[in-house]
Amino acid sequence: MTALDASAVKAILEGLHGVAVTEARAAEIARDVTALATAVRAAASRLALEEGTEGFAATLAALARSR
Amino acid sequence: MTDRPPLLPPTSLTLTEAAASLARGTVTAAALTDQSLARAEAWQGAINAFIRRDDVAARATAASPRPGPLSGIPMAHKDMLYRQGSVSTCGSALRRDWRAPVTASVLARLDAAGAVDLGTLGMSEWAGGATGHNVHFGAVRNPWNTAHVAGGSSSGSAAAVAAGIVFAALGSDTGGSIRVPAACCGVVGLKPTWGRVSRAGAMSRAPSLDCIGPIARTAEDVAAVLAVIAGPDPADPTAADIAVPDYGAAARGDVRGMTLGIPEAWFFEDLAPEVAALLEAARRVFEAMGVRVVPVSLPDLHVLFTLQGVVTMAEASALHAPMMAAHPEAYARGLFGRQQVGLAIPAATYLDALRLRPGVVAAFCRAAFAAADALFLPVLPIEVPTLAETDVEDSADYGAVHARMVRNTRAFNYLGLPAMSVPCGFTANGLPAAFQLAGPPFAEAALLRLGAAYQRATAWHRSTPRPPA
Repeated sequence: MTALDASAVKAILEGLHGVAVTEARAAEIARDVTALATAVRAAASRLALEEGTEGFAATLAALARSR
Repeated sequence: MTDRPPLLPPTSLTLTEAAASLARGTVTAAALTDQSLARAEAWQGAINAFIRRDDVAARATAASPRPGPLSGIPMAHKDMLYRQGSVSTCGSALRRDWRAPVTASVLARLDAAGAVDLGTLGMSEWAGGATGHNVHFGAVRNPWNTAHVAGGSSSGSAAAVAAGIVFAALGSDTGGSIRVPAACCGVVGLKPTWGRVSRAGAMSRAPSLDCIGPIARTAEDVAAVLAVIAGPDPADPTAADIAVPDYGAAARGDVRGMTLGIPEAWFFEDLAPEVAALLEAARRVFEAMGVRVVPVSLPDLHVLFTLQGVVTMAEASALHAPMMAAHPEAYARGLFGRQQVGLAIPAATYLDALRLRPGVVAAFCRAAFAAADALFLPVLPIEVPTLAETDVEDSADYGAVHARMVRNTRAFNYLGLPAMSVPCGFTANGLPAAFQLAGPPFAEAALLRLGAAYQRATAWHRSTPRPPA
């Protein structure tokens, strides 16, 4: 799998958001974001949670009512 | 600040005791406020708790306080809770002169309850750090030892309460920003359930996670403040329309027969031996009170840390992107770098993190609270560090240092669950240690009941730091 790279990060930060970033920092961010995205994707696959119709606030309220 | 007045003798009064004294007429709001202002003045050079004091306004309020449950009680709050027309810096140079267009609903409720507002308290830049360092306004220092951090981001709130300047203070918590400073300073800090307390008129850090809550010397005092600020608010559609229980009665309640769950993994890993010993002693106190303690197995805790981080960074970065582009020099490098990461997080990753949330919290509650009323776990896994050890605001180590501070608190922001830090002794370096109680949604009353009972059985909350010479 090809990971996010520094040039892509530079394009997002500088090209889309106007936020300057050095090449070295962009490489670090690319590593960090790749790790985060990979972990979240793995969690989404592993947890295999059904798509609920309730939002988060409604879930909290329902859990409170159920006790 | 004015010339330093003579320091009054340290007070051991809690908020609850001060309110009772006011009601009996044995002390006046004006006298309490004068004492608080004198203590604020005396401590400021040592701990830098205040960003701004409003002495004249405070004295005017105290001269004729509104009747109410907090009538005449001196308080002060994190400088991100807006008061219309007053400067609210949010700990940032960009807002050094920014005047708030509205008053936060929580401040309006405290005003209506009769509280006296002394001013605004120091905080981490944009509520984005866990140590209390701030390159713009200076670090808030720990009253127990000013070489050590006060914790963040509600650093001034915890330090001002610990120093006995105010009886309670509000803070905000996105990843641990109430509980971590409360633990560092030896006071009680409650992050309520997400939606329990209105955020209207408060600076947003990450709106899906942000909570506003009280810091005070005791759980009973926290209950008194929470009773005033909790509940629905037309100005904040995320404030839940769920009945507010009698938190004061809960804090006075018996805990015999309640059950604490101790997680088998994650939270107790890599715990400093002294912290582990103090938590073990606290656990025994609960058992002696008739609280049953059982092990609980929790699902996939490491991923909660990641999910909370993704939501925080994505939401904070989205809020800050225009200012980061226009004024990069106005951010500490560490915070700026952290928020750069958020700008590059794919939308699908952020949405996955949010999409998973209802199912994750339901699974967590099934595992954690099927047989327990609350979880018992550490706040900080380490002794309170020094300012020098954590001075990473302009360093590449920023992420690692802050992540360690909030290792045991962040999960509960992603889960939206209530969690409270309670002091339980001192490590050899003279700094406080604390345990954390976490509960099911809207179960603040159970946490307050447990925390208050622990404090009735112990005297850690009666210890006060030595005032500056």
